[in-house]
Amino acid sequence: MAVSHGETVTGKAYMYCHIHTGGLRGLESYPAQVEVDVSRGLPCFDMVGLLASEVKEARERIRVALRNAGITVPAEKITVNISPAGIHKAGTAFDLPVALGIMAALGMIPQERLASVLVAGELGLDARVKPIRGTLPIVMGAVRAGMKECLLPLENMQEGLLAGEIAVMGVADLAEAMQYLCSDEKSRREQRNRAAEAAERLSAHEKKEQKQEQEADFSMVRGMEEAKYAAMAAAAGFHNMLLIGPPGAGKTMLAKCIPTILPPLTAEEQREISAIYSAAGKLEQEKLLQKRPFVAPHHTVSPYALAGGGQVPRPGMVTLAHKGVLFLDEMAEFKRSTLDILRQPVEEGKIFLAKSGGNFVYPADFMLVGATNPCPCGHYPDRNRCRCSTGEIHRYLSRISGPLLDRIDINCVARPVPMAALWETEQKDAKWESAAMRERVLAARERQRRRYAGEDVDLNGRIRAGEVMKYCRLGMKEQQFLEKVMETAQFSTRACHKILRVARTFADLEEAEEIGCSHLSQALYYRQNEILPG
Amino acid sequence: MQEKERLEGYLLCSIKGIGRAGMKKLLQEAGTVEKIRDLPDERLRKALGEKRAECLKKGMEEGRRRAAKRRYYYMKEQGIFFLPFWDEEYPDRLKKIGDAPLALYGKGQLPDDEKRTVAIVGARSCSAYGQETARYFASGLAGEGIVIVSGMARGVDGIAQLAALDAGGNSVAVLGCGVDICYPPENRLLYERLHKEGCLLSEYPPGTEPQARLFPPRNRIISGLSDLILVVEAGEKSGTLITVDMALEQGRDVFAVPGRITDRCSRGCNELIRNGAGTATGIGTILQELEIGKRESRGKTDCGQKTACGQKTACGREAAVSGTVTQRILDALDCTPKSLDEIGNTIAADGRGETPPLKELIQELILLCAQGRADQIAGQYFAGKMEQK
Repeated sequence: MAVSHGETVTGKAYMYCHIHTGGLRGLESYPAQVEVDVSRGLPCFDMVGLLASEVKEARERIRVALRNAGITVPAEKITVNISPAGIHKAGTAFDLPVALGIMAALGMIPQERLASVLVAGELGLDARVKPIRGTLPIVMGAVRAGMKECLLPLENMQEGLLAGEIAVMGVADLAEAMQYLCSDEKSRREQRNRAAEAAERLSAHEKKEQKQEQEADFSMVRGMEEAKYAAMAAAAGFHNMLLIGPPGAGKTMLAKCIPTILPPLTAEEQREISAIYSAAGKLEQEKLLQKRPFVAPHHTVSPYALAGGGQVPRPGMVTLAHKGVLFLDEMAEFKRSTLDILRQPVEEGKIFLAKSGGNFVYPADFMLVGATNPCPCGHYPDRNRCRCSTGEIHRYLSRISGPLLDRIDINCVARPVPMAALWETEQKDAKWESAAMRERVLAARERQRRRYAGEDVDLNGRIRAGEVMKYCRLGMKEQQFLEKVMETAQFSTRACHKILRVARTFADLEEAEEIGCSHLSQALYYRQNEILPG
Repeated sequence: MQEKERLEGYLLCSIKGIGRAGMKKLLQEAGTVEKIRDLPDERLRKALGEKRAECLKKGMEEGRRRAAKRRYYYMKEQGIFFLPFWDEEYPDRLKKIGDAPLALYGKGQLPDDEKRTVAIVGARSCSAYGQETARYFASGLAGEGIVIVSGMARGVDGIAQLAALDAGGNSVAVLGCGVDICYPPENRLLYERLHKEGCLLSEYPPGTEPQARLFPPRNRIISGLSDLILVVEAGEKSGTLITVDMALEQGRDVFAVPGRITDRCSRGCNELIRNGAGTATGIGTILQELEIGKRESRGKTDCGQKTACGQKTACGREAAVSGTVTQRILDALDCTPKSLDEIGNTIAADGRGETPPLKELIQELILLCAQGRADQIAGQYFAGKMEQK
């Protein structure tokens, strides 16, 4: 979209043009324009627009790349601005748009051809176009901005195609890029198809031997039926869950199986999560992530790695676990301050980060699964093996932040399986295979979908305090039952709400329309009760 | 005893170097406490010897006297009473033991000497069985008007004393620190209740911080105040056994609650029984020993727990036909926490019908917990209670 003309020293017309591009900030892409102006004046090449060092260095790369591509840049005053000028620009994706912008300003690319095309890519000194990070969010940003085409590095083409809804072209060098932009509609389509094939071959060639990781499956876990049932309920209602048991009981293994019974990601969720991983630089294969994330930070994890850190924060583990499982093994070994970070995501499903680069809100809606020993030695309440004093037990468990425990709906004891059962090779019960369990979870999810259609909550585990009574109504008999229990046990209101939510999920699992005493009992069975002695 | 006498007694007891022996001699010489300050020097020297007589004189000086008076009235404001050994309200039983404390400081109300007393002691880290038996014995005995004496420590002590108070009975705690300090801090509530409904005692002056070396001597007071010692749970090298030694020295009877030979927490008790202590299988044993009423006539077997083959004792609450799920569950439970699997297996093996589905078991168990007939502990374990009347 060139406009003004004037005279330069070489007699050519002044040229100004701009190219659409996208910048990556945090997890999202913002629309940006590369403006290039070539005009009379002492020869120089300036880039402005609040640029990070790697963007400023583009000057050198572009200069040399253009020369190596056989393009002579006349000795004019070249000014490049990347707008909006107030947003800090980082990353190397601006190389290609700036180079093409200069070429357009020099008349080598017709201005109209640049309309509705978003360009992004890094340049090497040999004029080859190199891959960038965060392609998927950038292309998704292009779609939002109403662009019709994207021009990307060849290696990123497949990732760009994941966004759908927009034509994507991958180029290997500057010359190809120029040729594409100079072509007409029909020719462009052909070029895109050829490039798609080339990209396919490229990724097949580069793909490392992906070891088919043996997927975890609940049938591999022996015994522990109570824990499996609890896991199924947690998955069905997206409740947070805590596994308590001695070391070696199989808590970690059980937790790893949970993603296998969660419903498959919807297309929208796949895109959302893939965009997050792309922005974090973790989208390794150029396809949409299809498995639910399973993130298991070690208990020495730093708060920044967990929450997200940096001036413009990279997503932390809570965001990488979005729509999946965040598994905290050895929960009592985590620093209290680190665990406190989880309070907001667990409560609200997002995390607010106030950094020097600005305020960011990242998604963090995950299912929290924790595992812990009941006491320092791990064997409580078996007093024959547990020699921990009451004080030691109390202190050990109170290391898990109370407010966090409060938000865990299902607590389950994981008991180690007796030796004899380990040798059984026959699976007694097909109903404890992941596939069968997932079926039940899906059925329960369907009931929830129907119940919450049109409401702003979609899962039992996410019902807020004020709405519990609305969605978890009880009959007379059930109310009396609950009251009787509450008398002896003296529940807080929050504990009561937890019981109702979980009971609702158990009812859904058993395909019951109303919550019955049996479901309340099960919810009470799995509640957080006095883990401590008298 | 008059206030003035008590004050004088307090002053004398506060003087370092004057112990029981010294006080005895002084009382012999002077007749009453008040006359001690009027004793001439030679008689003091004759009674106490050169050095201690000096201490006494220094201690009776005006400055010290005033300070003691201040402390004494401060104590009274705090509700702390002072009982020297020559006071008629000083517990009779203590007067008779070898090294009775010079004086007792206390809060609350000392029980009458005529009341029977039983000391209940045991491990600090007790098992669920220990907790339940401590509660059972304490509330049962307190219900019969027996005063429960213990040390207000963590574990068995605290549980027993709380159960005694809850049963409407009386309890005395002997502390290893000043009677104005609550140790351990977790038993704060118990401490307050003992102040209001029972009695707190200590031989250490108010303000004495708890130190390890102060605890063993207080055990002699616990056993000294009781007619009988009951040991609920003790490990092999438990501190509780020190109390037992002192009790034996004082000529008290010792009873122990037996436990499974595989249970670490019961080893001390089982060993005591092997070495001649009485076997406490129920409240009846203790009451019989103290010669209080005949338990048999009330139709109560010694062990309040229902036996596994479903024989009912007179203490069933709701009419339970043997064979209902509730009954079978109650029979399958005992004081050791059991998981749902274990309960299910026990029921399956009891030959009284098909095993009910797990969901039904869960519902029944939760209901039993709500009724107070079972406890859900440590996550998904259940323990029964020892039922009484």
